[in-house]
Amino acid sequence: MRTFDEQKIVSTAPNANAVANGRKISLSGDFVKRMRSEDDSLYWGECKGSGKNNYIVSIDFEKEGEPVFRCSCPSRQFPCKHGIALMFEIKGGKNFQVEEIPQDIIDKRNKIEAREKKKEESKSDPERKKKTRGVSRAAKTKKIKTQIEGLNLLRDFTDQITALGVASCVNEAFDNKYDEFAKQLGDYYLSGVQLIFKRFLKYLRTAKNLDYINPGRQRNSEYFTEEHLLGKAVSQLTKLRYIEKRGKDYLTKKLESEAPDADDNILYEALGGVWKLEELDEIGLKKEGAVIAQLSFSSQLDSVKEEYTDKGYWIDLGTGEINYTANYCPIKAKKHIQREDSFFGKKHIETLYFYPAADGENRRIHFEGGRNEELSTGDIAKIKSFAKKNIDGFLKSAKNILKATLSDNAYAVLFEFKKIGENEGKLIAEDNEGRQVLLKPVTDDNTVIDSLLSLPSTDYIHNQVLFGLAYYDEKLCQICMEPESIITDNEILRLAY
Amino acid sequence: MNLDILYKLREQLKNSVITGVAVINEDFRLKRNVEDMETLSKAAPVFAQIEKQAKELFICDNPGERVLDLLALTDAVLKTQAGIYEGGELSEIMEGGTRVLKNYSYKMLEPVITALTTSGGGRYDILLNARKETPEIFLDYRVFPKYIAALGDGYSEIAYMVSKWMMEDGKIMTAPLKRGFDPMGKNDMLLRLETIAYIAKADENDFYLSILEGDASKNIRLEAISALGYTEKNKDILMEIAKTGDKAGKEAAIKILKGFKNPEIDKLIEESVRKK
Repeated sequence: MRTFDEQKIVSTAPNANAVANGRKISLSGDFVKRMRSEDDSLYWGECKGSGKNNYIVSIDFEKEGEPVFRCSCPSRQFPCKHGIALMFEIKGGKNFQVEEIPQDIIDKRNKIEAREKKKEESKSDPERKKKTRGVSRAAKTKKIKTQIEGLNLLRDFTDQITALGVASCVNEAFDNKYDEFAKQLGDYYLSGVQLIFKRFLKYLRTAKNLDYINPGRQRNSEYFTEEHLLGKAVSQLTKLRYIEKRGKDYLTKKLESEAPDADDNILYEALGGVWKLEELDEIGLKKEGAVIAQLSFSSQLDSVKEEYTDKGYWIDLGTGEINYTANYCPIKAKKHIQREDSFFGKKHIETLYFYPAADGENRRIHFEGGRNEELSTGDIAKIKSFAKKNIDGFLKSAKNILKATLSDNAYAVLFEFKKIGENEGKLIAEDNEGRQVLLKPVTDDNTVIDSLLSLPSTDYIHNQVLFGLAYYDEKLCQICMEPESIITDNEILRLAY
Repeated sequence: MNLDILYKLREQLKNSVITGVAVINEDFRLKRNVEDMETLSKAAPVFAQIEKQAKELFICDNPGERVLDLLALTDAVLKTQAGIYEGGELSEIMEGGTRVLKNYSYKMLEPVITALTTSGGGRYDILLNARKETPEIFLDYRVFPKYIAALGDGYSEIAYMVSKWMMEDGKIMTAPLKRGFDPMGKNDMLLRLETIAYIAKADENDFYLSILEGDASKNIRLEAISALGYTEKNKDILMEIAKTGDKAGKEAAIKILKGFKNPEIDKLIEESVRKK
């Protein structure tokens, strides 16, 4: 008989409501039948619902670590509240009668197996690859030409804005012409550029509406002053200019070399290209047999993209390389999609894919499935051994990454510190050489700093390893760090999630 | 190396983009910043390049593009030259009185933190449920500061509910509640004091006295006077307040003193009744 803890159920549920509703169903005794297979790979039950017939709900554990939820209810939420309720039934140690696995489940299992087999076969079929490439080459060339046209249009538009001045655009920030232009950029296959332009617009509109912004915390923040917002708008313009100039060169060269396929140039994505795993596979951006552990996790709302980004920083236990996973969930789909959650063990990954990035930059990674294992103290010692010995050990490489115009202004790093203490009301990390770095959140969310000030023992802030994101603070004109986790001999203590 | 000149140039370039490069030739501040670059340009080839590009801004046909290019270059150089914090001796951070019980995941923590730190409906139930299922989550070092701050929640039912839970949590709450206590504060501080007094009773007598010794808001002062009632050791102080304090203070002190059995106090109460 399996069992779950509260955390496992919460992690599996798409949102807090699903947990609450699932719990309610379980507590109110709506399950009229509870069954499980002899090999413990399937749990299912019949649950009363608002429909005429009972819902048949099941959790299939055939593939360990990747449970499949099925339910006959009409909900679009995945897993639905009945699936979560079934987990609560298992957690509650309720009696599950041992039964034969139903035929429809066996059929579904067979279908999945057949699909996976087909996928594997098509992967290793070179003929199929050639065929698709031949068909799409003309389309790709046409797309590049359209992108170049779009970049020319962008140049004219930014020329107008710089000539008149960003401040003069604030007053007409809500003018339709801006939205139309943003839309047009999408038509030119420049979704990356479109996003930066939308950010530019957002800063202008926020500056215009500064007096109406939700009073309280935000208005007092350094992030909500006209000076800051216009400065940010100028930064977006600088990025647009950079992409326009470099992107045009890059695309022209691609046309001339008659190689329109995706390559590992970061401009591909900056312009709006979306990587497919098979493309990453083709250009060799992958690693077989990786073991990784998560150092921190966060979820942020991007109001311009209208989506949540669930971001986890992971360390490769073999190489010490720090990279990140980013999973996107549109706001509209928030209720229906199972979001990522913090992960505390280590993962054995069959194939780890890397997205292109600048040299030395933390790369976005992607993996599917993987075997989970508890993190041992040996693993933690290994993680600690990858830490830089002091601040100077990472400062130069951080600056090299942060100076790039298209940089995300974040460089993830592990380093040994002697002490974290206060100076003039600020939190500072000091290394063994007496060098110091200011600990400050990148945004106005102060959770990580509050956590540092509330730790249960001062042992955590003496002679440990800090994992954090180094960034350039424009106001202070210095490299600061957003602390994420403290690594001691026994644990990875997360300051947020 | 003094990079002030370069910082000033960057700021002025940014201003040019904000105000419009159509009038860049009339921008005397930018011209002055460019002239100042001459001294720096001798220090390294990259500064010379910046100076050259900056001078060209006034004679080229496409100042809009060029100013953005130059801004990108100066930004990159300044980031390369960026320093780190230099502040001297660090003072120690105190222990937070919290716990590390287990690794709560994002999905466990986020709803609780959001419910404690935002406004809007649905928060009450989330908190109530969390208290029921995982009461220790409120003592987690990531939630704890927000838990204490929730005593100031705009929705008073949440503030009172949180205060009640803290009273249940007991003595571990006293020190964290005392930390950062502002006697001049508003309702959140009043609730803090009520919570401390309920938990610690006479054990925090010195704390109550320290509030009365300094400046404190009216309600907090009255609450501190009430808290003195936990021990008869405060008889003299309370009698003093009853004699010399303001009206509300006197009334509060007398109310407390009535609970003490002492002929001296009875006499004082009699006198005060007679005066009325």
